[in-house]
Amino acid sequence: MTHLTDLQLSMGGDDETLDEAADHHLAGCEACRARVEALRTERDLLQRTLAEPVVVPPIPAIRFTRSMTFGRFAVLNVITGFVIWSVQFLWKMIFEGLIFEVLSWFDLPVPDVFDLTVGLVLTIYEEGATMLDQYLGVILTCLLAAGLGLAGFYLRRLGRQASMLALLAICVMVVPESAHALEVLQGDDDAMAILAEGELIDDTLVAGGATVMIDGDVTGDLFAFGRRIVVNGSVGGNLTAFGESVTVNGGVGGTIYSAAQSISVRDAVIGRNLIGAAANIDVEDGAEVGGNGILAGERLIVSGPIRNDLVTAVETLELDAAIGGDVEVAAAQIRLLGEAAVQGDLRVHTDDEDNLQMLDGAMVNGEVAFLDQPDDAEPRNRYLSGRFYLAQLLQLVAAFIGGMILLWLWPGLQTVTIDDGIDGAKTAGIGLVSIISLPVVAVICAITLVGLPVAIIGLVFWAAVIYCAKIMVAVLAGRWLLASSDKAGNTVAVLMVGLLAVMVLVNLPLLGGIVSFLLTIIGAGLLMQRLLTYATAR
Amino acid sequence: MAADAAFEILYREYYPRVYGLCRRLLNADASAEDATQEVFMRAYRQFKRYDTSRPFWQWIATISSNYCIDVLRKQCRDEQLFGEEADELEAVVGQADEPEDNLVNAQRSESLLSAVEALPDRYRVPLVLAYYKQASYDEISEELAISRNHVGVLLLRAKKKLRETLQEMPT
Repeated sequence: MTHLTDLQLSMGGDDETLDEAADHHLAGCEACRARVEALRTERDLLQRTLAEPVVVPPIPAIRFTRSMTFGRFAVLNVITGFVIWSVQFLWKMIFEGLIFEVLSWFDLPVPDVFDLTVGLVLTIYEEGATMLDQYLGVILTCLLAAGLGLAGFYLRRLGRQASMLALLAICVMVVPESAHALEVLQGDDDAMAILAEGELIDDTLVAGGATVMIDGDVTGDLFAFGRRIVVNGSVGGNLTAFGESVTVNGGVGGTIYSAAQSISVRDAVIGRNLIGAAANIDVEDGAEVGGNGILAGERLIVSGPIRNDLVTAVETLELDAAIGGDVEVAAAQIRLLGEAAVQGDLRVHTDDEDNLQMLDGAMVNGEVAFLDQPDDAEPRNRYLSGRFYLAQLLQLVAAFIGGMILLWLWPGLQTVTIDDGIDGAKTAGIGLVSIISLPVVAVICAITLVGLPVAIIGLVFWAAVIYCAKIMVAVLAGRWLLASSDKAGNTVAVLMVGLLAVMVLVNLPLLGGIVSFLLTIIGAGLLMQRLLTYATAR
Repeated sequence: MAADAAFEILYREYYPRVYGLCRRLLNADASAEDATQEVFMRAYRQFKRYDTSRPFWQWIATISSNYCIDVLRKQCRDEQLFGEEADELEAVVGQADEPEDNLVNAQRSESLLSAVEALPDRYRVPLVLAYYKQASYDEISEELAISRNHVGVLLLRAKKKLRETLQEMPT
């Protein structure tokens, strides 16, 4: 008689089913049954021994958190949107509807937007450096505190004394800096920055205050910020002025760059150009511009001569001076008064030729041409210009270099996939929501001032996501296009082929814009999904 | 949320058993601690898919053993962690038969446990699955991706090695 094999006996001892012949043998063989029984005893012993409790370390406190699903992400965005809407509503109700209304009852002067902006710029100018220092201090301190905290966490076994020392160090460093950094400083309305007559600054001068009065001379550039800026002295270099009203009476060797409620150039001789934007711009008859006048605003009066061209977009232009070159103007009303003398052409962008009035004595030596408004101009066919292809080539090279760096830094991005249609739609949805919500959240952070660095980082991140989005799609497209070739695993080939495909698609006539938008949101979605997965895994 | 609170309770209750299974499978305290945390994180993420008609232990023990086997596979330099069935069977046939009493007579569980710990991964893993997790041969074969017969051979060899080790140990 052939007994059961060791394997069959072992399986019998573990109560596993045997084949029919083995079962039949076991029923009739005393020796084999005895061995199976012995093996069962052995099994029981093993079960008892292995079940003996092991020394279990203290149960760690794990914070169980759900990974971010599309639904939760969407809900979060809806909540964010609601918060933004509420903030806007409250802002309008409290400030525009309530405070301004109440102030108007008492006939108090209500600052307008320009006034508020000037005030903000002054504050930033006066306190900006300190604020920046403090923000940097806070960021560095937070990083240091986080580092110490982590070190403390990993070295916690050292004992209570070491932990207390680390905690004390964190407190010493964090508390005074944080308290200091939240201080908000306001500019003093009565502050005046004055460079007295006869004084000379042999360098660049930066002047700021409610009123900036420059009666002395500056040999370099002058940067002036204030509600009221008056420059009576001479400036050797450029004059950059930002304020509520800017008045220039002295000579400026270089160019004037200015933005203000009103700009007035009186007895000034400007060596080069006058470039400005303001509601009212007045170049008076005592003034002279040595180069070009490039001006935008509501109302422009030019009574002083401009040696070269005048280019302007305003509501109303009154020209009563000599212009050495051409005049190109987009305006609703153009009046050339008796002293107006345009040596070159006069090109007028206006809806109606009757909007141009030339009074007696006004003269245009060149041609007078009426052109469409810039918005109505026929767009050129971009595909026919060499510049377009050069720009595309440069973009391709930049995207390729950027893509290789991205994939080198984060190799996991080479394996991104969109498995099916649902995932594709989900990815695009996440991308769209990310692209919309990131800048909104950043702006909200910026409003709080404390969150300014966070906002800046957020906006940089947002720009990076948008830039890298098409690179992600290119990786996906490249892999798909090269799937059947032996280059499928070659990152360089995949990226280049993918980028070329994306470039062709986004430049398709008519559809290119939509395709570009879709690819951007899909790519952004892929990136955000990877980031969320990575963050969750961490 | 209620589900989170329920999971917290299960975490506290089952942590020692899951740790024990990971400890027996991985044979190292630190690895077992990490593995246990990872197992509970995975279980938490899949908690919606848990069939409440089944015992929780069965469900989480399967997650634990799958994870630990993955860890061991990654650590293993050989392509096949559990070897070839034919080779194992040949080795069994060539060995002399030891009486089962050797193992049963090992009164001190410390000796038996240290003998289990001394087993190579390929024998220890099926042994722990069979006698700690109390999985059937079919379940083990599914988890290890080997045949049912291969599971039987590995367990047979594991027990033979235990007997040999215990026989060599000073009484």
